[in-house]
Amino acid sequence: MTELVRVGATARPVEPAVERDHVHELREAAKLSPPEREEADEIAAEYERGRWRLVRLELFADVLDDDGRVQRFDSVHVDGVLFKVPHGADNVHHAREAADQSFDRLQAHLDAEGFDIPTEQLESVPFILELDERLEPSPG
Amino acid sequence: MARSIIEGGEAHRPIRVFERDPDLLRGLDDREADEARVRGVAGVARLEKGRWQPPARDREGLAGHLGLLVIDGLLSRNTVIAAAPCPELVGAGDLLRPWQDESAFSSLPWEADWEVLQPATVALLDARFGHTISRWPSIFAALMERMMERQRWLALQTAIGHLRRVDARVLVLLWHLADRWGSAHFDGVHLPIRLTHAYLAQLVGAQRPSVTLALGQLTAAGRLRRDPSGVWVLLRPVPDVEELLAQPGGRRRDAAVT
Repeated sequence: MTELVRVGATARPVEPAVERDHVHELREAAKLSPPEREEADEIAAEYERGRWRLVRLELFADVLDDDGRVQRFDSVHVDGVLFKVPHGADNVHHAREAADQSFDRLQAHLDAEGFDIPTEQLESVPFILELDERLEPSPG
Repeated sequence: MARSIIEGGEAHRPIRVFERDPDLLRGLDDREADEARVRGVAGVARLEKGRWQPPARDREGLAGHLGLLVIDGLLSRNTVIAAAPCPELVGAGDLLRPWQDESAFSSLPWEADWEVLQPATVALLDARFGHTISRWPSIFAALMERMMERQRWLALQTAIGHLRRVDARVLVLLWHLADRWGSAHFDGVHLPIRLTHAYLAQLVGAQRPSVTLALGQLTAAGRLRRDPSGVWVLLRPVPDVEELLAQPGGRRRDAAVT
């Protein structure tokens, strides 16, 4: 019997050009009227000081198949996720909230792979966030 | 002019309250309403943007005071427990009694503070005003209705915070705010209030970047847009919340899936 073990996301850094575009978008947003102008300006400045990092989340579901093997399905991603530097609990909460908005796509992918797992089940199993080694906090 | 109970609030000429808020007279017949409009005069205070320190509970002049009726502008009452703020947005039509401080009687520590988000005008419904309108009980009923509405809106805000997805929370919240302070136009419902993403995040109980992400997705999904002046335009149809929760990224059922 198929069993969903857990869901999660792997956070990976994006290409520098994508990050530059993001800062540009923030600067464009800063042309809005206040108070968002001040907020977008502040975020862009913090971003340039290295306090934020744009990442891509690759969602996955770990499924135990009939042969007792855990298979990972991970074709769904979420762009535009912004992590604080250094990494902490806020990033995990943000990743979970971003993933929640795409579980339906993950469910559709699993369905296409022959696993009948309702979205509600994806929401109810443990969620873990894995960091690409380029995002791992430096030791010590 | 009587001394205002509002510290730092710029004193203005008294106003005819029911000319600015005619809905409070809906229980009166035309003749009574005409008289109430003329007699229902109250002092006003103008509150500028920024932190606001309301009058303390024991301040002189508060005996018998009904409260402050917001005529225009936008304020936030922020309840803070363990450094986690939870705001309540109040604006035109809301009745406030900001000197009430229940935290003093609480077993657990919490506090509340006020911030003026957009310059606001409040009418001071003092004891003299209360005496003047006492001949029209339906006005008191209308004011109590306003207090009850604030309570119900807060309950709705709590319910919105329980929706599973942040994009659904944000969109439903914006429609809720539009019901209160929006105006219908040919291209959608315009919501002229300006809130930071951080503040929206506090209203829906989410991380600030998640709200930014959700707003981007909702815009891409054709649920809302910003006009050049910064006004949010909520695009019809009004969302079916269950459908919204079933559509990834807030997509409309008729939108192309890519």
